[in-house]
Amino acid sequence: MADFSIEIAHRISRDDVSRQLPQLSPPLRLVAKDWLAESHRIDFVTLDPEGHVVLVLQGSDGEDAALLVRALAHRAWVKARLDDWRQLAPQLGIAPQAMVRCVLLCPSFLPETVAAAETVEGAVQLVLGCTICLGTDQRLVFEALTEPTAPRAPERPAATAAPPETSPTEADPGPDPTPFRSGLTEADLGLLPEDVREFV
Amino acid sequence: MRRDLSDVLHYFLPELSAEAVVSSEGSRHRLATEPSQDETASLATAPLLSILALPIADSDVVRTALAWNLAVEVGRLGAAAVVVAPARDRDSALWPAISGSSLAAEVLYADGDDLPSLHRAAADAAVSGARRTEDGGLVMVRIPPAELRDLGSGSPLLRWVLLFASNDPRDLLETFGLARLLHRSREDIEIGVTLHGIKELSNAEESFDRLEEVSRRRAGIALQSYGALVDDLDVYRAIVAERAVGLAHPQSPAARALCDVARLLLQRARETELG
Repeated sequence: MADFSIEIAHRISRDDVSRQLPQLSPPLRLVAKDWLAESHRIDFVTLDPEGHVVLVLQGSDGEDAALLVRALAHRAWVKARLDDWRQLAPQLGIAPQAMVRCVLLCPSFLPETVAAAETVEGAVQLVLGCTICLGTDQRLVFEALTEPTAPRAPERPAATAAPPETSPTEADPGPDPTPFRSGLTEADLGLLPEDVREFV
Repeated sequence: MRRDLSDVLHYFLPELSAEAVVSSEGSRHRLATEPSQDETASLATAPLLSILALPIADSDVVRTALAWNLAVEVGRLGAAAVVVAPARDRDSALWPAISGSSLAAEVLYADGDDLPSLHRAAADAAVSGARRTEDGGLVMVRIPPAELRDLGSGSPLLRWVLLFASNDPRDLLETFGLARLLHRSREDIEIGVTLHGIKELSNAEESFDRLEEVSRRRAGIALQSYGALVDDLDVYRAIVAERAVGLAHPQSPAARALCDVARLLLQRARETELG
């Protein structure tokens, strides 16, 4: 059997993170790397399956607190430009009422950072990065310290929000094809929309 | 009827099996005067190890780590613990060499990845494990979730199942879906849930209560709670040292939680022969 170990990665490879983005739950689609914001670069600009923008920032040990501050600044900066992005790149699939949230990826988080992140509910998710060594092969796995939250209600003023063009039944997209952690899907498990509504 | 000491000896020496003891000189001596018959009788009445099925994905390293840590905790509690894994795990390095430790936990690989192969390996392990201990124990079997897609009339392997779930809403939804899928295939199935990645016990209780209520109302399933495993960096740091959490950081909240879950599983296994 190959040597097996799990170790806390003190520096997480950017390439590994980039490769793993589609494996996250929900999976993230990479749109841009190293995007220059106000004064710092956003490591990864991504979209979730619903077209919400997710900014992924990665840091090393001890950088978590600073990263949280930077993430909130990036989020504010991106939110102010979403309409422009939609006009410039409509093919990206940014949802008309997209939310912006951040994922912070670090080898460890101080309790203060976790507490601070929880006060900005819905804005920031903390994810621990672990490197698994399989002999000479290394693989990065993520473990969420805080849960991703469902997007909040539309942030646009009600007067400018577009009215729904379809009835709720017509808008029902059917089973979510995104696999669960087990690799099975809603269809595999025979889950109905009413089952989904019980939990999500 | 008159009784002599040999009639009641077993009350005072319950830890001595009829199989063998090691003398101070190191030689093995039979206790009974009729070794072959007594040994046969002892083996016939020894409880088989209970078989616990764990649906865990091929790539789910964290839950696999929880499973082998639980196996080690069962061993630390003095019972037999065997992990049975699909044949394809042989080269995946999902399972560390826990059999190399001083504890009674080992990993065996089935000769295939499907449920019949896993069941054969688990049944063999349950029988051979019973020969080694009178304290019972567990055979924990990793079930590739893909094998659950077409269960049909069910599998004898799926009599007792433990599902790991975090309190993420989508994770709870998946757990409900798995529980219902398993229950439809076999009505006498017993399904337990252990929550992991928990920061506060109250969160775990809320999540389990919700899961249990929905499962009962929508599918008529009575889920059993098998405790919660706290979200603790010690879990990762202990594994860095390539040792089970309970050995590397025995006083950590994570180790105590693992031990509690192992105790609950063992207690249930001893109540009824499952699997």
